[in-house]
Amino acid sequence: MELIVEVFADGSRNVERFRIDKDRFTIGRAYNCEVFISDRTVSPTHAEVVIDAGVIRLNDLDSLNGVHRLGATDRQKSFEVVAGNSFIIGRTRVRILSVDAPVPEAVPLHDALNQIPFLSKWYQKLAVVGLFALLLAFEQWRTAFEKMDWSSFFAALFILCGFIFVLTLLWGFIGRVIVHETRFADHFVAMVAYLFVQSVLVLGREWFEFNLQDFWWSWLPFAVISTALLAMLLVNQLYLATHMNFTKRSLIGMTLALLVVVSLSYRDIDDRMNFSSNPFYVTVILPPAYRLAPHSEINEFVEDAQSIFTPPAD
Amino acid sequence: MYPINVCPLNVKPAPRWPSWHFLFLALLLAWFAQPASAEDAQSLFNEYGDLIYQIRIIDQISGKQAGIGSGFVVDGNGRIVSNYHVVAEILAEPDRYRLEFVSSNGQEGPLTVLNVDVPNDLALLKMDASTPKYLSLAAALPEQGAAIYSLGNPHDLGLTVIPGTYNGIAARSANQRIHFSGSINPGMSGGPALNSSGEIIGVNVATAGNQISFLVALDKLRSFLEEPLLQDFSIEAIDRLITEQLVKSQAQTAAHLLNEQWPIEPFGEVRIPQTIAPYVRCWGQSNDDPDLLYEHSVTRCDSEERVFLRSGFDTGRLLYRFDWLKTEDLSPLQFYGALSQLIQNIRPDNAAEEEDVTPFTCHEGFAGGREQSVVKATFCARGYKRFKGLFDVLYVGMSVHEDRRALMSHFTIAGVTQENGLSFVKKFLESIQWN
Repeated sequence: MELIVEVFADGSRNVERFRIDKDRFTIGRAYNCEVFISDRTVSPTHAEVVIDAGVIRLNDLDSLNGVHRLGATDRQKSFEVVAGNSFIIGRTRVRILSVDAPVPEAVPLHDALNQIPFLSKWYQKLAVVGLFALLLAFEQWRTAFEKMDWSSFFAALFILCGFIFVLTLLWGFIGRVIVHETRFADHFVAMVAYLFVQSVLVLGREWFEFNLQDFWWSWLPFAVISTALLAMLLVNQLYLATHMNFTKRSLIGMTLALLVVVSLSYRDIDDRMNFSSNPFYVTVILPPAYRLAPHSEINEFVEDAQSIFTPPAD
Repeated sequence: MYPINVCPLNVKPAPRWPSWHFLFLALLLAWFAQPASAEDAQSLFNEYGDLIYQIRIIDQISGKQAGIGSGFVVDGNGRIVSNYHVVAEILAEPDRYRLEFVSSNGQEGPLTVLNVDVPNDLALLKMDASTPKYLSLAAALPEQGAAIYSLGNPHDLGLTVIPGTYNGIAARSANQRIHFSGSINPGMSGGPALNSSGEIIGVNVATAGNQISFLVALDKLRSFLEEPLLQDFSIEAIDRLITEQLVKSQAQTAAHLLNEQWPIEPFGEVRIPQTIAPYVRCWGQSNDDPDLLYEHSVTRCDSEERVFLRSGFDTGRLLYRFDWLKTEDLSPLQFYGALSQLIQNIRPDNAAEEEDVTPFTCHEGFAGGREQSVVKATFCARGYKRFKGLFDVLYVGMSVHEDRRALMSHFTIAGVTQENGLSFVKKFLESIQWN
């Protein structure tokens, strides 16, 4: 079995990777060790890794400071290691991964987009952002589809995007961080960034709406920047959420997250759609482009409205 | 999260209007000095006190009272008049409640419902015993300013007589209620109002607080007592009867609204219908906040009519409002953002619960009015579940043909038929004129 041994030196700041295709190899401070760790607390030939019939076993070679499982207090002479698990040698964390079934790395936020094949180039990113901006512009300046109320459609779309975003956030968070012991930081950064964008958006919009006079394009930069950021965050979250190990536990975690989001959003949707609340909720967006809308005569409008008088079912 | 187009804006909260409300069974805490007719009150109390009963709605399971009202004997056969709103719950859920009377000397007995008049809020009940003594109807209403006496059992405190003044038929009341200057309190509903000779001139029904109370007028009571009685007491039959009464009552109101020429008056830079019926009150208000970068004026007319159907469900109301908006400082995008915000505050103006009505069904579109004005109109209706054929109709429209001027129009008309709802929206839309 071919293994990758990761050595997290200097308090995990640097990762050194060793790719080893042997059934038995040693870890230590000596130069002839297959996995070399430059740490004074590590003995020259500290431990050995033995692979027997697919089982990885770590044996302490009578080292001074011993070998610890991550989180365990007592040193252990010998124990089994599952690919993906970490252990401590001296003061250094070491993780063993299997090449055949690698545990995917949580991608740092700034690098997430580059990991996606169709978003790795700058113009591809620009295209996605442009697409979102176009959608938004379309919503504001549409003239071609007046009869159907597209504003409701887009309002619904934006709400949906919000739900998807929260869903992936929770999905990724519960699935990866809680259940699967990977990085919290990425999700945290994503969440903070998202909240930041939203607050800038809301505050900025209010400020521009009512304080800058004759600044007709005030809306545009906000729309573009916020949609771009939202889109990137969304893609990042989707990436993080989908590139995880689909173990039984993570699936349970994801189902749990899904239930939380659905029940939360259900209450919200129910409130909005309920007869007692505002029936105009999804039709509140009024773009100025409506002045170009073709319209029917009052008679026709009233004629068409006959269908709203539906008698209650018995 | 807020999608970008529906962020909350820094808009002034909707203005409140100085409006007084009729409160069914509301708390009232004001006490005033008694007028100088204490002797009349005393003799009336002594002479007719035993003809006034407390009406109790008894919860079948707990055996305790779930609601109280008053009633009075009107003939020798044990027939008692009270308010519909006192017995409404019994008619809706006969298995859950039963009806009882308690006389001033503590005698108790069961009651049955013989007839109801929902628009006028009257109910005719019957006790099993005959009643040799009863109250008779006055021949005519007294002069304005005459002393009259309202009797009943406020807050379950025992039989009480309230002297007060007859002040004629309340101005601008669609259902022709008597304006009684005296304190009617919860529990007195259904009790009689007597003139100084002890004859009935009205039935206690509602209060607006501070000595302003309302009585069902004598002629309504007289014609109610002449009506044929209910033969079938099933829920379906009672619902059919109430539906009939509501349909008839809305037909009268609608005929008036639809046939009369509406007075069209200037408002902002447009012309709109103002007082379209004698029973609506209109209020106006304009914003005076210098920070708001647009002009905002509101005119709002309300019939203040609430026909009680059951707790949490009323009908009969007509309310309409117009908002005039104009700006020089905001761009069209900003201005339309503010308009969007305004539309979100529109709600149906009469109360109904899920068990009473269907969800709203809406029709939206762009309707062209006079002088090339275009309104984005949303027109919604919800059907009454128990009273088939009646609907609450709700409309909101925002003019969209100008960049910096707009008129929002809105109305709620509760408890109308499809035909009248459609005719009303048509007339309403056609009556708005842009200069």
